[in-house]
Amino acid sequence: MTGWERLWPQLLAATGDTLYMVGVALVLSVLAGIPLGVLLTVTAPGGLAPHRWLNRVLGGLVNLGRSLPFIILLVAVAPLTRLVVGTTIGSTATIVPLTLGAVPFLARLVETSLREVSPGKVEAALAMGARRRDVVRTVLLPESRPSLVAGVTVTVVALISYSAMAGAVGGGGLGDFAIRYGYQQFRTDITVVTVVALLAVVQLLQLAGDWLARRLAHH
Amino acid sequence: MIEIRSVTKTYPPRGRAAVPVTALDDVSLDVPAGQVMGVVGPSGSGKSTLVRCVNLLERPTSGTVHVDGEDLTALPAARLRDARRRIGMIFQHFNLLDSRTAAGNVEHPLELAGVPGRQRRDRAAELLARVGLSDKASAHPGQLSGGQKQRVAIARALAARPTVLLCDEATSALDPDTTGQILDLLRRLTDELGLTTLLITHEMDVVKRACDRVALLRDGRVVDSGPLAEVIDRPASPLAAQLLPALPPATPSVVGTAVAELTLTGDPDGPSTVSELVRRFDVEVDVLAGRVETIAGRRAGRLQLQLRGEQAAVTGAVAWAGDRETAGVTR
Repeated sequence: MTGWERLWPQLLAATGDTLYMVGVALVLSVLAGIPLGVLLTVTAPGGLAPHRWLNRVLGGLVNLGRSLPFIILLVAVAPLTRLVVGTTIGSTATIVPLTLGAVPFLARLVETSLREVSPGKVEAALAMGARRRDVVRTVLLPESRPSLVAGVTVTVVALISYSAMAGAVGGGGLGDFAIRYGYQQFRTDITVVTVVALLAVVQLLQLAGDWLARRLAHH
Repeated sequence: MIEIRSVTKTYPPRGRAAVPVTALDDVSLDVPAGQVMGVVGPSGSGKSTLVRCVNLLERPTSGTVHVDGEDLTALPAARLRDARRRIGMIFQHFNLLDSRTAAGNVEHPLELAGVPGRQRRDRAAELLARVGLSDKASAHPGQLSGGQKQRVAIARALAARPTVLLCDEATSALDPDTTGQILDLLRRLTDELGLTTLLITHEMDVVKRACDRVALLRDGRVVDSGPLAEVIDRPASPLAAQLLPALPPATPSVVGTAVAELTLTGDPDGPSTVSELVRRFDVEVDVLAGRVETIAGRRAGRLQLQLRGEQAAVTGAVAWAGDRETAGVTR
């Protein structure tokens, strides 16, 4: 087993790439996924602003994104990726499919979280003269905050797993590293080290998410 | 002042072969300013729908609702929101926001009304003091007992200085002691602030303790209503039957005696009905059973008396008791 003095910096760089892809994709997913989840919730029948066809269209898109295996999505959106980033190779290019994969995932989790807010709290706010947007801003989102944080944490972990898959098609990051050095060069030790690195990242993020969710829960 | 006029609420049928459900059927009720009106009725009688029709959380299918002279059913959305700010509401399950402290919850309606931060904090502190919870201002609902939560909810409902307070089964999730405290608080606040209060409950004790007026709802219709003092003066009315439940029938324990049932609704300083009975007829009186309490400041109750004496005197006394009280049951 040789070459580790040369491999360590590369492993570190690959970890950095993974964090970069996942980080940017997460920010974009939260920016798109939370509003989408809110829309899914309020346009649902019996919701704050029921809107049958909008709800069906959004629900359909989300289901499409959710049911497509990520590896297929990765290939399918390649033209879009080339259009946006200019290339389909490397970690920046991977951000596009990562975000597209995570948005519907997070949107469903957000919808579930918002639905768990008791209708009585919404009713109380409406009785106080709240507008619908006030209800979203002062009741639905704050009341579901611990659960939203848990949803975002699950999304991060999913993003890490997606990003590793993207490595298979030259996406960069830890997945790429494991495939190129561990798999293609038959270096089981490299595969093991990469797995440990991935596990460590996932574990740290999960602990951070759990801690935050606990801090935000007051009941 | 709340004026409910011919309000009907029908829900469209759900699913195939279902029929529309009529929750409220031509309901008219007035709550005069400064009074507490209790609406009682079995579950499913439409009480909750009725209280939600007052602030239009449920929009009546037909009929009008006036609050302080303004027809809420005719208001556009923005004006309706303003009107709702003048109507406080409390709920069976409190509906406080867990993400906010007690003070934060009280500030919520003020925030929605655009009151600046400093004023909000002052007003929240003032209201929490009013409901006796100054020391819990920074506690979250999860750290409060049921009674404390309802106090916070009351403070929240009053934050925007409403003229009307709606209470939807506000004490049904509380134990009897706490229920009494909350009702006394509601009564005191209604009197101090001149609120007009509509209170929905399934417990007659709530009505006895806190209300000036009462209405009985059954299958979406008002079957009886009136000021409490008036209602108990009509012992045969459906409401009086619930306020003063009839005693289980008794049979005379001694041969040659009779049982007279007497309903007491007189004012406490007036002549004693039992004394009068004894004075008028030469009978011995034993109390077999009885239930007497003070409702709306008046003595009210039912007594079962066993009368002994000459046959004529006993018969006369039983008849007198029956005549005197419309519902005086004789046996």
